[in-house]
Amino acid sequence: MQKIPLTLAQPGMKLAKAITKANGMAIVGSGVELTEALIDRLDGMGIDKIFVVGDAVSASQNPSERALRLDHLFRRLGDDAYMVKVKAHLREYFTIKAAADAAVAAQDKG
Amino acid sequence: MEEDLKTSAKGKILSIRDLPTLPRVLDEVSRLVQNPNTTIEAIAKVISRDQVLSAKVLKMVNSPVYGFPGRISSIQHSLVLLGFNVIRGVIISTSVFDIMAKAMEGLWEHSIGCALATGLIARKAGLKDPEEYSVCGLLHDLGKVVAAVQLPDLHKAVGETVRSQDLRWLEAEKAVLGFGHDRINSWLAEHWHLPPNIKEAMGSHHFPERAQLYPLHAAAVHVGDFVVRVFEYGSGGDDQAVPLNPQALKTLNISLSDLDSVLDGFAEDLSEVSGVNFMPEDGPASSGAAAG
Amino acid sequence: MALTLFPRQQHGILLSPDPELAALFRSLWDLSEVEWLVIERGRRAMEIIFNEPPDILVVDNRLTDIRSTEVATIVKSENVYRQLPVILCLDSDDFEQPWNWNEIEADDFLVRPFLPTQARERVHLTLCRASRAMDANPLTKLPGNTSIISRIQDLIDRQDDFALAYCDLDYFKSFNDKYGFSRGDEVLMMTARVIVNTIRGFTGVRSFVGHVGGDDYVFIVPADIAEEACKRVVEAFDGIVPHFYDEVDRERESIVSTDRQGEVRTFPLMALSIAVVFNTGGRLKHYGEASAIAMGLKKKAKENVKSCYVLDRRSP
Repeated sequence: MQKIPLTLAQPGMKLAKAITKANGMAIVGSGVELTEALIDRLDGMGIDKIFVVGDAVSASQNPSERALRLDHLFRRLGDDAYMVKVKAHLREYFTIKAAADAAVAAQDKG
Repeated sequence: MEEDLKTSAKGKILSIRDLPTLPRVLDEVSRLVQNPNTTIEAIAKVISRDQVLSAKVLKMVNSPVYGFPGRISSIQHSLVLLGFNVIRGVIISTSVFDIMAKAMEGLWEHSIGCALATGLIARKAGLKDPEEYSVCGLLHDLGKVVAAVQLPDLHKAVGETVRSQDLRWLEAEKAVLGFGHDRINSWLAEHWHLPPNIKEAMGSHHFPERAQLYPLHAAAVHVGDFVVRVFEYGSGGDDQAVPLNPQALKTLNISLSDLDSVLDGFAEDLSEVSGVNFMPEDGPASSGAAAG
Repeated sequence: MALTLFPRQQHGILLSPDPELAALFRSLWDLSEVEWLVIERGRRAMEIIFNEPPDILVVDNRLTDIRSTEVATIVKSENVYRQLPVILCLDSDDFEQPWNWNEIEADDFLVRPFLPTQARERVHLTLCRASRAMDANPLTKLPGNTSIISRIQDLIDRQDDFALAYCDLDYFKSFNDKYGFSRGDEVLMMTARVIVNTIRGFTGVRSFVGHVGGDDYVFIVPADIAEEACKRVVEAFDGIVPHFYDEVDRERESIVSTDRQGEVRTFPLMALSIAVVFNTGGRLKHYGEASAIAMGLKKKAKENVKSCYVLDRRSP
């Protein structure tokens, strides 16, 4: 599941979460497939973010993937004490992010 | 020998007449300027996503012809001062990369990512006019684009050196050319009468401690470049992190932990940026950032 | 001729002893378009030209008492008459040697035998070109005072509804004192671009922008968009002008400068004041009324240190 801005919504994407009004009333249910007309209507209602199924949009900000790439990216900076510290900080940051995302995903399922 | 190469390369670089861009943003802006009711804000928003178009309008508005060289560093202000007809002229006369287009996509994403990250850093550091910092971030690798157009063989040799010796792009440039894109940036900024803040950020983003007048701009772009590389959004030509200068964070008066919220913001905004992927209009939204 | 190139009848002076040429010129225009005064002797004509400068001067090389090029030089050497366009009538063998057009400051020439339609169009082109270049502000190239006044009077005479806005800069003098006049010129150029482009941004309406001189500008727009135009001009100006200050002053949002009495004072950043006069229902009769009302409003606008605009809401 991914939270995306409505500007990136495309017909064919599936809603992973229902879209609700501020008072909790559902406008469109979870699992509904987006159409051009539906996207237009959501736009008209001022909806700006939606949750869609899968990794519909660029996955490069996926935190667990980021954590795994750090060794590769920092491969020539191992001798620099400060960069070692920076890398450790980033690893911690992305690991916590990944865990938080996993928790949210588990909650959605349950 | 090396000096000779530098002199002839500089001549080549500064003689650039036609700086092409990628079709995606150009098409979008072309559509906008065909409608006389389009607002300047709308055009500015789109041009701010393209380093070449941004460089062109800044170069024009800061040219001595208009009478205030080196004063304007915002795209929005540039467009107000140039006016609709001049903007349309610039757009119409801009060509697109043909054979090199594919190879350039990564650099475009890297640049717009750097603009985004630099703007977030400026906000985090509580700096005035964060948009100005975004422009600096957007233009930080312009020298690579100009080198690709004006010195295609050398540019190719740099790319090969990056791969064969596992160097960062700047290191490979120094090995092949004897100077880096940061130097090319300074030449261009000087020649085009770009404002001193942009000039210094473009010229010192790898070594922000060298910035004399605008250390904040240089430092913000330096950290912005680091962030976009950590996310591997697009590509500056190699797949390595750049050494982060601890002094840059001190200059900005932010800590390593302060970067966390910048990373949060970047990750969130990244999906919005992906909306301007440099692919054909009808391409799928799902093919996100292709690291080039 | 359906085409109207000029807002009013044009006065031309033709200096020529050649009756055929005089007849040709008189036949080419209706009297209501261009009226020609033909003078056969050049010397005698100089006084007439100086006393009642025409819109265009045509000088024949067949004058017997003075060379045509000398007439051109005399006219052009005097500042007040420099703007008067001069066309020379020549023979093709006059060009055996190249001419020094830096010395002979003519605007165009005609060559015998004259082609009537070509003569007509050259005179038209020269007149139009002259009116374009005539009183353009040398710095901003915007139309200057003469064009501004004639445009306003023209609109008043036609009883058109319009809004006339007078803009000027607050604290321009102190900026100039501190940064020098060339930095001041930068601000004047910027201000001109801001006003012109903002006003042109309203598509499909008749508008006009002029530069009275110094830091005084004028724009004319339809009454119904005047307020929006002011709002946009002020907004754009306020966004851009801080960048014309040095970093320190921009941060501080003020400058420290010496005032006219020699005392050190702090001045705010420059601001734009706009006073707008409306001509609706033909209430204005003369240009002077418009500027008098505007000057009154301007005082009100100046009470505010920030950029602002004041609209004259009096009904006719």
